Amino acid sequence: MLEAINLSKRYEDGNLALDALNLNIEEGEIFCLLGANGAGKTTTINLFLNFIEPTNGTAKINNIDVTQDPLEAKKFVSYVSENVMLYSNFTARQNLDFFAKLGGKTNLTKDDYYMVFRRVGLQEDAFERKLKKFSKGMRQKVGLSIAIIKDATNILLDEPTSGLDPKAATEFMNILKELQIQKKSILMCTHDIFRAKELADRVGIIKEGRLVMVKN
Amino acid sequence: MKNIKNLLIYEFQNQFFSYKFVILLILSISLTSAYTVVKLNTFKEEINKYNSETNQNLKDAKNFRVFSDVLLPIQNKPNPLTFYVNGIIKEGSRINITWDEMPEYAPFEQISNPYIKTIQEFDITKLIQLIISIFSIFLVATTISSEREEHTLKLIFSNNVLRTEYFLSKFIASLILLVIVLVIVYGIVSLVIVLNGLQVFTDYFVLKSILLFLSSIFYISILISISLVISTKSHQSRNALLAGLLIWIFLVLILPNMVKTCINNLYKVPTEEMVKNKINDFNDDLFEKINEFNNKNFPTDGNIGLNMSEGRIPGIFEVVGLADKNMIYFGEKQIKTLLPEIFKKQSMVISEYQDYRNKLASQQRLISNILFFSPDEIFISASCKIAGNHFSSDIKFWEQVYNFRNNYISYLNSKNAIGISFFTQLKEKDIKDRLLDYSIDLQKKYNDPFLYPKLELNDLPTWANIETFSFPYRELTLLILMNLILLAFGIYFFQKTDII
Repeated sequence: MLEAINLSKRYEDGNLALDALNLNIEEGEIFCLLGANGAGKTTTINLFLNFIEPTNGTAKINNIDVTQDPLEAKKFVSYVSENVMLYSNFTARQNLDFFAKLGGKTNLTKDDYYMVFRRVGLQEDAFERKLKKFSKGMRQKVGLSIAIIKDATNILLDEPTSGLDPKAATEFMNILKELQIQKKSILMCTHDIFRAKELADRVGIIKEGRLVMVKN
Repeated sequence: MKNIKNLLIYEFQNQFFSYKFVILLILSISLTSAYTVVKLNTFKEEINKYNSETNQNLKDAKNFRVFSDVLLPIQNKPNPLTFYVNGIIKEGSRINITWDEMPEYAPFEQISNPYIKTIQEFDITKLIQLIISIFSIFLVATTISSEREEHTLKLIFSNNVLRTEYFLSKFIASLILLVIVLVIVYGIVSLVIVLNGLQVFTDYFVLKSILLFLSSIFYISILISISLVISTKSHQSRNALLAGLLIWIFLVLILPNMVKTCINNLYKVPTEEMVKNKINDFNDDLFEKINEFNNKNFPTDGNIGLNMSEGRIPGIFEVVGLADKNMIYFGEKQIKTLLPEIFKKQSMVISEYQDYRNKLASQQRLISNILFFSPDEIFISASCKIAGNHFSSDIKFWEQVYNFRNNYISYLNSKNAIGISFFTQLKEKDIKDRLLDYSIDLQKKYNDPFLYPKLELNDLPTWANIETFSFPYRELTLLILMNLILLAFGIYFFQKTDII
């Protein structure tokens, strides 16, 4: 469960990036935060991940205040960013192994990793290939694999389909639906209104830091 | 800190297989090998030249040994505590043996003994400073900034990873990588030396190599910490790299020269010319006295008398006055009256040099203290301690040398001094016996300061019973402290910096 209570962020340059955001994403719910560039979507995710300190309010993951106990809160959240490069000198499996261990999954086997790769639709011959020559779509699939393998109850996605071709984006959405069935709470920031409508249980529109509308 | 092992292993692998590391390794190996080969060739040439010169000196000296007791301890390869022959000039029936100055009192012109020079110059310190240090920055400065740029940093910290363990893993992995480079470079340099047939691996060489290695590691780790701090603050890799390069230029090129220039201007040392002039005044007085002495005691024969022969440093125990083989007799009593005058003047000269050296040493110490983090400075002081002939070496060492001279002078002044036999008519055999006694006496007292066929580096502490090498604990402690402070600062800084 993800919760924002009067969550605000004003940067040092005076820019109010997020203004009193109130949000509650239940178990098994997909919430899409829609907005233009600079509307405050990424700031919201950064606050949930405690990458920045809120000026006001609270962000909670499974009822844990992320500012108070960020390490504990991060146990229950996975993250997929817009354009993650990962480690290009490592293979897809090595990247997954690294992040799985960081996420606390230390006893996984090669087969476990391969299973996740198959689930996100990464082709078999790419499992043991270095990421150097991966396309953006393939990297995103590895990124999603990292989020999946952590098996956290909450998933934060920041423009995950940006730059993906339609087929890859559709595959990506299907995986998110599968995750929803597994009772994951998903917050996806995007500016793709069609994808949001297609996928989300609720859609919130954010403008200049304020959540101006929430629609089922 | 449960993630540190995982972070460390992956960070190490990531950097180890990067193109940057491969370039670094290849460049380091090729540059250091080329540098070593060039140095070795110069070193070989110097050794050959030196050996042929000293062999000739030895041959010449043997022919004239009978004329002087002092000649027995001739050291053809310089031993800083003994006198060694500079030249033998035969002028009719008169033979002048000039003595080179004691090496430790050669402030203006270092003797060209390659064995001593090697210790001071034959190392890869400069190369480490210039190459490995710039590569450290090249490798490390972008390590965090590139992860930030590529959003990997966000992905890492979306997990319950402590910033401290992340920073430490970056630091340790970079250090291990650069130590690997150092080990390989050292190994190759050693191999090049061995393949060239040079036996320079004495105890001190090994000790110095360990020292060089240790301080290089600490020096590199300082650069790693600085680079990580830069990387922490930079949002773009190219900015991090640029900042790193600027800091490198400042630390390695600008700062040492700036410090030296400031110290030279603020802490003035008399010029060489001033010291020379003062010494010349002493010598003029002494020449006058010797002339007076010769005119008074040997008025009839211009070929017999006491002569002050000028070496490179006039006045330094160059008391030479020899007749030919058949005219060894000199007035013992008369000469004994002059000796104190000579010794007094010599003491004044020594004291001038001592003063000059003390000032130079203080100046050098000041520079070393400010630039303590630079391995170059550590090696200069350590090398001096090993070679025992550099102005920045421990003053205590020079005091002991000075005491030795005083003892020797007292011995010459004493009743049974062999120095007197210098001026008496003794048969060759008697002189040898007396010299043998003298040597034994000195052996007991000074742990055999004589009869070293070649100056070996590890001979140095033995012949004078002086511990010439002292491990630079102070400098290393400062380096370690600076490392810890920088590391703590880096971690603190990273805690306060945004991940994004």
